[in-house]
Amino acid sequence: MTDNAAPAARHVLVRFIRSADGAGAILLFLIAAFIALAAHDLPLGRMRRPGPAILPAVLACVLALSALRLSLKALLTPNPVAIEAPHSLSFLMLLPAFLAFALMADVAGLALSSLVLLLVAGTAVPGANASAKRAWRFGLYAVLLSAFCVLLFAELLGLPIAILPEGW
Amino acid sequence: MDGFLNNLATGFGVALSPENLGFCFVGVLMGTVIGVLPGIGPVATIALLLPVTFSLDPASALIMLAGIYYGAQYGGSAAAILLKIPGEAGSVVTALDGHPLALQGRAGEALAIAAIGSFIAGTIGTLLIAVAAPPLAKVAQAFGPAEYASLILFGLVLAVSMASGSRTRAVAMAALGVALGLAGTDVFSGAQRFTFGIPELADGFGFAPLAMGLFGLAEMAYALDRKRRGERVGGDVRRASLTRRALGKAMPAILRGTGVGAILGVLPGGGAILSSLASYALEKRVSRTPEAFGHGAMEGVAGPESANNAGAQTSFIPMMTLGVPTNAVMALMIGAMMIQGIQPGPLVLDTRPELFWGMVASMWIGNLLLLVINLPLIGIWVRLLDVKPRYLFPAVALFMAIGAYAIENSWFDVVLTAFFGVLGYVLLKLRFELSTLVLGFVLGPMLEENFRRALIIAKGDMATFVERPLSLSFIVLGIAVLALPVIFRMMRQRAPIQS
Repeated sequence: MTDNAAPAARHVLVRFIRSADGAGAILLFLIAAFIALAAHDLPLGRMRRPGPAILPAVLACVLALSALRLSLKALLTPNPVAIEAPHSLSFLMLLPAFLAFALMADVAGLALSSLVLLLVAGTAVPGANASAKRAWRFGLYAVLLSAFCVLLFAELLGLPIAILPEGW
Repeated sequence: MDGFLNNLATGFGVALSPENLGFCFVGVLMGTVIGVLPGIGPVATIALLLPVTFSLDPASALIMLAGIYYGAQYGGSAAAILLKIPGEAGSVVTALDGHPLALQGRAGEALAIAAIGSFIAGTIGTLLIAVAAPPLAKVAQAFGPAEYASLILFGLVLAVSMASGSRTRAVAMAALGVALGLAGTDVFSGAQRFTFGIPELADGFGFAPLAMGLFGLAEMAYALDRKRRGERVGGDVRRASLTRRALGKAMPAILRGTGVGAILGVLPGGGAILSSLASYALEKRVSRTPEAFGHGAMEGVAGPESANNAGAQTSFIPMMTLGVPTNAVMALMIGAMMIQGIQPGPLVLDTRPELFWGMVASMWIGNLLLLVINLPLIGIWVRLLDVKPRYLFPAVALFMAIGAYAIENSWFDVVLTAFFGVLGYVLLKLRFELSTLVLGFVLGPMLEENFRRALIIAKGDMATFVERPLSLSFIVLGIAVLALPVIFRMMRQRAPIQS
């Protein structure tokens, strides 16, 4: 009996985590706990003068209750909707592209940081660099688009962004 | 009447200045160009193009944003009709009959009906704003903190109850949005809330990074992780063509759709999807051939498209007069106004009449421009659908990064955009709706400020919310919205037992 109970419990747990409702519930529980923790040292105040912790406390409760409801749905539904597996993970490259831009913008200027973002983000699209010809074409496109952005944002729209690295 | 005409004259004086006319034209054009791209709806388009308006003066920026909105909506409809890839929830309804029409080689006709229907609905919607906004703003000036708190709560309740998908998820997203909106320095006590010692967060999360991250970056990542292709249409779609007879036949549907959309657009949580769905249901009900719906009924395009546009137009009424956004697009518009240093609300009409009326006039001009641009240029929009993702997505990412950086020349805003992109992607993967989150983000701080102010004025007496008639009516309406579906469900369950 106990031997069968462990795999069954594991099966329920795996199904729970893989379902959109179950994983959603876990995320909401975590967010609720985070809000409660982050607001715990703020004063609640009184009814005459409510403090800054009142609404966070209410929101943490609302999120926790929503999580509870989603958990029950995930556990009680015979075939809960599973999280869709990604078709390709290349989209993750958008994140380093953004972070590279953030790190470079102040020191390297708009032209270079734009070019780097484009080259990194270009790899986010599946099959973007499938051939050398495609890669070259994309490189040329990245250079032209960076120049266009410098022209549009820095020159035409007058946004106060340095175009080139300091001292160039 | 004189006041009405004077107001419109002020508005047209502002909107017809060569500079603003140019911004309206560029807005409509850019909105259509971006909106027609598969999977990018009006919210994402506005979020992406928001940075372009930063350096403009407030009136020009709002005129351009309104143009972007209409352009994006039409572009989204074109993608729904031609490719069956709706950029937003509202266009899903358009795709139901629009795409079958396109497959029958009648894409040009469907696109022309969509443009003309949108123009007629936009014209009537603009007139409604001009008539309804001033008296509503006068009423709103009598609102105290208690009325505002109850109204905002009612707005959130409506937004949650009308959200597509599960209500539990919508409640959670609204709560998360409110929580994100609370970050920063508390206006009453000066306490730092959710700032984690980061000085850049003292003013809270920026609206532009949040909007671009959730609707731009996250949607883009989500689109890249799924392999989704539309079915290309046959026939000639190089230009929109329409006979007078076909237009005459569609006219009743256009007018009915306008009526439905105009009413639903004003309601918090209403807007495009509800207007389109209600209009589609109405057209199917009044049609002599309801079986044709879903297989290429022109009324199925004319009604929802007009409703969509009329709703888009009248949703400006509560945003401009009460400062309360009714949908995600209006939340973006409020964000844009705040970036420009304008606090939306009833006072805008008195303190900045040129801004309000200029925008109202530009809405009509924007709709006219849509008609002028779209009918002859439809062939170009169709070709835009062929832009390869490997060129499109990096370019969109770059525009977002520059836009985020340009707000305050700060790398931190770029990192925030990336953070909200990750959060948005995770939420989308887990089937949460992001529109409710953005509404919560904008409405949350307003709700808290007015709620706490009302309690301070009433010396802690919660009865203040039910003792004031207007506040009480919003609370009763909110309870009714929550209770009615439950009551209907109970009645339905009882009915078979009684029979």
